[in-house]
Amino acid sequence: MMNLAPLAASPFHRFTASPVESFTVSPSLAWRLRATFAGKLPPRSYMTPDVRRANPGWDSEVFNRKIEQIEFFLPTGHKIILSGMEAYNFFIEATQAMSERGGARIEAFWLCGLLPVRGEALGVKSDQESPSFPSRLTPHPSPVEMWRIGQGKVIRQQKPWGREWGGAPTRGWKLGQIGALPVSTILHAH
Amino acid sequence: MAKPNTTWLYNNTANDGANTGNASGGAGGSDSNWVVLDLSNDKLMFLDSQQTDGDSRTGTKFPAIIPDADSIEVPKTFVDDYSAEIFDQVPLAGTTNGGQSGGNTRYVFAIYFDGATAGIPYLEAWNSNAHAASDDDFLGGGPPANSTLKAIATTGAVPGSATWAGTPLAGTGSRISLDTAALGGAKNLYFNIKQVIPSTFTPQSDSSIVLTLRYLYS
Repeated sequence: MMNLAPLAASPFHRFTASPVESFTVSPSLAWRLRATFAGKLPPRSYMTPDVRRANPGWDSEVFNRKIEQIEFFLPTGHKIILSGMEAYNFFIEATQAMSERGGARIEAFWLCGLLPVRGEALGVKSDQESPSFPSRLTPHPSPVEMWRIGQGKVIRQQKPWGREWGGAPTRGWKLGQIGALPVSTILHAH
Repeated sequence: MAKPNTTWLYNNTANDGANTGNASGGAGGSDSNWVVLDLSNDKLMFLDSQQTDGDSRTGTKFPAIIPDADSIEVPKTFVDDYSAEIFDQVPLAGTTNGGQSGGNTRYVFAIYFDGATAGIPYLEAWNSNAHAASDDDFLGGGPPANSTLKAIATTGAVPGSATWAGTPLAGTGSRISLDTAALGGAKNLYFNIKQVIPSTFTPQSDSSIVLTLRYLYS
């Protein structure tokens, strides 16, 4: 049986998704992001630590291969999957208020995928390839598929490329492997 | 990028100089002096002209007076400095419509980031640090445009006018961008803020509104 105590302490353990009958995700996977790379060479994937307590390290990682898919594991036993995207991003939304004890607070986790146009890459570059951020193809004809996990809810939305968060671009984008049908979904992880 | 540490500071002089001490504050450019805000205990106070720099924080407080007509910019801005036990004046806060030295000045309040962000940092105002509602009477009672708090980002330049209008602060719907893009590394972000009270304002005796910094990291 999974020990639920650590999850009960989390501010984000209540989700609008239907309750699961059993927890099949290893507790060590909850609140972690996994990027799976295209090709068969090792390492096949990159896994963050628990992003509630540790820096995800997403932006500082230099991936030398394109990403096939990313998965974010929820403590409910669900996982959010994005695959077939032209580029991917992951970031944490934090706030710090005057009168707030204990420093900054995590408000939400964001998974983002730039939808390809009919399976064709349009020249988007990762931030590492294009250090003069935000020098990237703008506007892009496809929207950004976005998942927000926070305040007890999982919300899916689409935003225009270059205006994906707060009406402005974000940094940390990494290239994806396109060609397969784009997928953006939440599943019960078995 | 790792999660950046942030430090809020204010310039308690009438000298418009940058915060060169970053997270530590202290003496800055052009003989300015930067004081680190204790976010747990210090408070931003908009008070009447009768309040004097250095007054005891436990002594008399002089609230702003609601005008008979039109609106007023609250004359003076202070930080209720809990550790020093005084009202420490922020002389450059606000515009020339107030009662201080503010105007077309740039270096008034600062938020220092010690690392990069994944998006533009925003300054917002909320009813409380729950960040769930922004309809306090001081924030306009619903319409964000009616918020009494008006702020302007001065990270890149002076406001351009000594009587800058600013953006009303209320939730995410009406807030200011503290820079023009995600931060590529450590940086001081600057802003100025004022309170404008209309004649129609209902006196308030209690409020827990907060200023909030919102940012991204990855």
